[in-house]
Amino acid sequence: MVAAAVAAVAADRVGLGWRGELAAGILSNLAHIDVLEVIADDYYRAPRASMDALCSLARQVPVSLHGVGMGLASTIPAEPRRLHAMARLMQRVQAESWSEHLSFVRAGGVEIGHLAAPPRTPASVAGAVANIALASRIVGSAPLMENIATLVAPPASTLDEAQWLAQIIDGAQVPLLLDLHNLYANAVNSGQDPQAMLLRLPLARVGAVHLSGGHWVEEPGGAGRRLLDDHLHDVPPEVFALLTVLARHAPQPLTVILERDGNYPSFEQVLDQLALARAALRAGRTA
Amino acid sequence: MTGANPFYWTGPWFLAAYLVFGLVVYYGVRELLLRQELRNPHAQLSLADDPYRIAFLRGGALEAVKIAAIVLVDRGLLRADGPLLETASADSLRFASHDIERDVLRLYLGRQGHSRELAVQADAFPSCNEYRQSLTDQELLVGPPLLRQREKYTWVAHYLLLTVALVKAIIAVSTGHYNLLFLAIMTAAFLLKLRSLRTSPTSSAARRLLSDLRMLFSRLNLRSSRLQAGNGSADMALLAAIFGIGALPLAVYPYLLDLYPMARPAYSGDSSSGSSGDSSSGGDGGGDSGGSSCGSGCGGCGGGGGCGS
Repeated sequence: MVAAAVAAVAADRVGLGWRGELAAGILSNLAHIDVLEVIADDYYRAPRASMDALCSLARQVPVSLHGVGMGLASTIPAEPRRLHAMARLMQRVQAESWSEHLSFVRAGGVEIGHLAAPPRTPASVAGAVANIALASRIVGSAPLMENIATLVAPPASTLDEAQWLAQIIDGAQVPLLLDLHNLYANAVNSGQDPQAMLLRLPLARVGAVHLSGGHWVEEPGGAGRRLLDDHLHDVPPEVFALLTVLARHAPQPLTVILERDGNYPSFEQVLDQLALARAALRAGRTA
Repeated sequence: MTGANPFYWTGPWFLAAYLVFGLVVYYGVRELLLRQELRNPHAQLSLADDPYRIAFLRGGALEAVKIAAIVLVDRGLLRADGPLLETASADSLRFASHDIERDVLRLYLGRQGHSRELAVQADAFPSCNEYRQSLTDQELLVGPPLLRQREKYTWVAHYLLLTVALVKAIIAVSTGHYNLLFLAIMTAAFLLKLRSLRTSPTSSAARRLLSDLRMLFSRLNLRSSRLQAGNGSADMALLAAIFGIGALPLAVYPYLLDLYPMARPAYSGDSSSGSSGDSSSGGDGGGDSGGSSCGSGCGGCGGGGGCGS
């Protein structure tokens, strides 16, 4: 048991979402970063020099590709054009894995420009499973699928989030990219206990974890507050605590990615957040 | 054009064939050298952990010491008074983080000196010699071994092109044709191009590394106006190392104009004022929307029903 925990600690990896604004800090601290996650959509039509740079990066540090534009959690079939673009990128960069969101981003020919939560119903489960199967076939490997945050429960839902996620992940037989801040935000916004919600998820299927931060916003009419996942703030302690719980209940090696999309702090602060993530993992593994 | 032997073809036909031949030879040698030099295992992005090494690779010793001086002024270890520099105190040396910074501080220790002195002294700084030596040993800068390798291929190509041109010239003269001007011009052009392959001071691996860094730092370069004076950040040093001092915004580093008046080309990386989707200025916004038109971040929630990664 102790040996297994030690092995899991050794195999766990902690990394960062690649953002150009953080380039100096990342390249100066590659020794402290196990893995980088790159937004795939930025490179679908990138010039050759930009692709060469990404390939150089991927040769020096493990890179996973993260899609934001496929809209796989939808009853609308995924666009093969985007899936082929991901396939080409995976081939070119030789990334170790790729991931997408359990969201929809277009409907009726309209691009929402946003990761939107579909109604949690058997129909959206079936649509997502079909889309993930198509994506896996075209790209040549199964994606890690990520839970998204939502300020309000999607209207017309007949399943709760844990049920919906479990049915898709089990149905599509893909690993879960568990965004712990999204889970935390959804739990507190819907009045649930985040840890209880976490423990209802298929934790054995978690392959990777996202950590980020957010801030509280007032509900219209002053009825209360809701947590907005904005990636502009440090990871709150509650989310690190969830990571410890996850590490305790998921024996498989985890890849943890810290996400930051703006309001960038000093890189020392980013490294501190990575260290906290490692500590949270270690605490869970040795508990 | 008469016969199968190109040397007996008429002038225009031979020139056309020679042009094709020359291009094949030139690009063949270029590709060969490129492939060999790009196999360099030392051309790692992690070299960027030392911005002065990158600056040296891009622009030589002077570029590296200029950036060291700017970083030192930014950190308050070196004082700038117009074009004059002076080490703030003897203690400054203790706070320098690189040998090149200590070399610059020693130059201005206890006296005011013109920033132009750096140009005179840069090549003699021990730290610069160390950069030169290590980069040459790593074959990122061209030293004798890399030069020999280049010469091996380019001289073969050189003599091949020259021999073909000479044989044609002899045949032409022997048959009473003396108009060899275009052939001479074309031969000279090819030989000059081959010479440039031989004499380029940096290796292909170094040029690729610098190109990769320019790509990876392009977003930071676009937002250079957000740099903050006084924090001596790696962002500032690396931006200057990769793109040149001209990439640093004068609004943030006004002393640059006095220190290096010639280093302000029209080039400026600062165009951030109108950048869209920027969420870095504060923490109160909703963040980037994380949909299909997402930029470099996948973004957090934008409010409403959906949410980003």
